[in-house]
Amino acid sequence: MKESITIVLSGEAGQGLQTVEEFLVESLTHETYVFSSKEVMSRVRGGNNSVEIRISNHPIQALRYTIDYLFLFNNHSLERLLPRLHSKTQIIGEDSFLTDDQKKQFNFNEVNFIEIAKQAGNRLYFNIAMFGFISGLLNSSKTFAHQTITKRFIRKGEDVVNGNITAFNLGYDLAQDSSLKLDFKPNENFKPLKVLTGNDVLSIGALAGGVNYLAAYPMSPGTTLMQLLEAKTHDFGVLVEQAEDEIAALNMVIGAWYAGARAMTTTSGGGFALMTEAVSLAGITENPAVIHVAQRPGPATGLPTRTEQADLNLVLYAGHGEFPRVIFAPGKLSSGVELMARSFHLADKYQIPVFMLSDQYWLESLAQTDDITIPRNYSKNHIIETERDYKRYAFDPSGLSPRGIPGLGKGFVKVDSDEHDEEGLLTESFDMRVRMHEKRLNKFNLMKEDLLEPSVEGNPTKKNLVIGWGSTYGVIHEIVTSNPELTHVHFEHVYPLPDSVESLLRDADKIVVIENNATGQFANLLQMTFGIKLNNRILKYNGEPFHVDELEQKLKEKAYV
Amino acid sequence: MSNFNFNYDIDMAWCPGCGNFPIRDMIIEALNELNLDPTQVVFSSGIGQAAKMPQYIDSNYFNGLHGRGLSVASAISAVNPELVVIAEGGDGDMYGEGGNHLIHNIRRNPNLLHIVHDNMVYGLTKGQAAPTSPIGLVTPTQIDGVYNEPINPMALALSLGATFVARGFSGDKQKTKELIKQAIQHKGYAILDIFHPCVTYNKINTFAWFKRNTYWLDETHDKTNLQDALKVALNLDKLACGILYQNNDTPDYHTRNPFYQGNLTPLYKRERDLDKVQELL
Ligand SMILES: Cc1ncc(C[n+]2csc(CCOP(=O)(O)OP(=O)(O)O)c2C)c(N)n1
Repeated sequence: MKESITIVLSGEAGQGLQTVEEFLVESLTHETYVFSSKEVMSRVRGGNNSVEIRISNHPIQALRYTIDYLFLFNNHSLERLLPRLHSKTQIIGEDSFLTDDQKKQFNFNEVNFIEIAKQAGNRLYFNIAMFGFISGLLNSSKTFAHQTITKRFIRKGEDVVNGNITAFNLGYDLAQDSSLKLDFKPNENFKPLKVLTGNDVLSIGALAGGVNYLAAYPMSPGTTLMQLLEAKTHDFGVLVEQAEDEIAALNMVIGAWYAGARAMTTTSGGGFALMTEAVSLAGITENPAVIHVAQRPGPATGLPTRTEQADLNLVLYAGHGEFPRVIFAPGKLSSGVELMARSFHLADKYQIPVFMLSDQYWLESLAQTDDITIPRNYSKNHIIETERDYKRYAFDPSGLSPRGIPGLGKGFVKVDSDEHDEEGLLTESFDMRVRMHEKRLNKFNLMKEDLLEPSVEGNPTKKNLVIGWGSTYGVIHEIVTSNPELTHVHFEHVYPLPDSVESLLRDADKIVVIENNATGQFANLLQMTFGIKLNNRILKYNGEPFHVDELEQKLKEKAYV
Repeated sequence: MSNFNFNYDIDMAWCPGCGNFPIRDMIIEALNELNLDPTQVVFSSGIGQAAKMPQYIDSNYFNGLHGRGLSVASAISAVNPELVVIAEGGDGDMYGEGGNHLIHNIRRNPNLLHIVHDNMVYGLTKGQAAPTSPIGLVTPTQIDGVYNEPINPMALALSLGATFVARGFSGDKQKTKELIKQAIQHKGYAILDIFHPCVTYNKINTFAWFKRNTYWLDETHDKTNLQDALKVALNLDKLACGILYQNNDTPDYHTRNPFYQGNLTPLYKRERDLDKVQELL
């Protein structure tokens, strides 16, 4: 029996691959560990997209390159995946989807899902027939599947629900009767888990951070978060504004915080590039801002629907002048809630811009998580009621100037993008400039108590370090779990870095840094911060996330495992 | 009695004879006469000589980036409907760098007054052409004179559906002050373009030029009629001052945005129910 199996569905945009994915994952999560992710072309119809669903008997949050079971949706969905097949891969689909040569070459199982769907009453049910077939192979519970189908189709009426259940059952029974057998048995101690996407957890985290205003201009893969919060407008009181451009979006977010709201924006690298002047504005005005940057491969339009971790430098250095900021990059699914909420808290507490740096892969994958308890102390406003002689930029013994908002209290809140005095009036005094600048930059010191340490997993000697940040958590975690000599050091708070990291790096014998970019931006940051050379890097930048088997192979080549 | 004037001296960064001085007086008098509470008023401006105005008025302000004063103002008004919000800046700031925000905020019809100081030149950066500069104006970056058409901000605002469109002149203090008062009281977006001379950099559009080339609309002008307003705005032989157009029927941002549904409580007074967030999981 295998520890995990990899199922891939391949078809074109608009054929309903995602439906099969969602139904399958939603019903399987009652019985086994499961993780899924899709790779799609930047088009609405046609092309070739695929979904990978991994089923495992231990927790997973990563993909494999090699495919065990491949379900085809048409006659042009095999070609691109050929390098991912191995001698035991089973291909399932209609007879016409493969050439005669291919049928001889591979393990082909003819199943006509459209015919099954027609038997159930409508050819449109074919993807539910496929869902049934896979469930049948896995011998999984019909009950959960029927629940999932009913829940999803109830609004379309009883006939549609029944038709789909029939299609499911026909597929299920066909699989049970077929000679094809799945080489997998779920872990008997498995307890049901929740399935969520990165986008889901960020939206919940933002609500826990008290978000009540979002201004953004649509750009994949940052838009889903905007849509999820728009859907919460009435239940939670989130005012969502589709701005005319990203420049307006971040300026509106800053204006909203100034007037007492808890505001954020969401975008991708290209959109964020337009926001950079306003990042600097948040810096000098000491105004909070929460900015979600959902990375996709650049430069420029790049690969709009793919993934990369190449905007760390952009976010790290965005904005002219010098001022403090915080950057988070979630890895574990559950961290998304905590870190997104914490972004609001730190932005407000330190009056700085805080970044959530995610990526397409992390945002759109379906992963499992235990119960998450939402943080309770991140949604409170750090604002004061002003007195008559209030000075927005007062030199306070705490190091932070208490933040008032217009209309609350007897004072005036005067905020300036020019260098200013305590009151907020523009000044050309060199002395005042130095004092204000030092007050702002001193937040780097104040923040030290709030920096998060990287997580350290695996071998406790910490001699052979595998370092990652953000979305590579799952793939490195899986490799380290089966290679006991390795220690996985993972960063979700990527800037500023805590001082303790230096000894971690100095005391190690070997260090390799894993990044989904071409230049090793995070390795460079570590190098620059701690003065330690980190030449050993594994980098991937073709637009895909790392796969477990591929990364393990690369580590082998470097004599690491 | 409210008082938006400073009771202490401040070194204002405008040239002697600048039209910004009388505009400042008008704004302060208008706010005082409306008896507004200075703590409930917010100015939002960009960068430029005109955009320095909030520094010289005792009230709240957000003096942000060049071109972005209107975006910030619009968001301030959106999240706190109780505030009186004024966006203010020069013609370069608001019609050039901030042009896209002008277009789209007119569509939002936010509850704010948008004052644009129209001196037909860039002041702070020393005399380059503005989007409103007349053809022929010689500047350090247009040595043979401006050759692009100037924009017509009044016609532009009207064509986009602005609900209050007016023009004033720094040389007509009383009348322009009344425009400011009416614009503040308008429910929705009000644009007030105020002509004023730049005594240092614009030798064409001088005080005397504005006197010669402007006139004030009288009661024969029907300000509720968009066609009439457009006709007036498009007449460049003589430039009209006064309220070109006012429409009280179009709902303002807070009324049309389904978020509010009649509850105009500012966002900062609303509490997040964290138990309800936990239920999402
Ligand atoms: C992004 C950006 N670009 C350019 C500038 C430089 N700049 C400051 S004010 C200004 C134009 C000033 O003209 P106007 O807005 O008409 O105001 P005035 O000074 O005439 O009152 C320019 C180009 C800037 N501050 N920021």
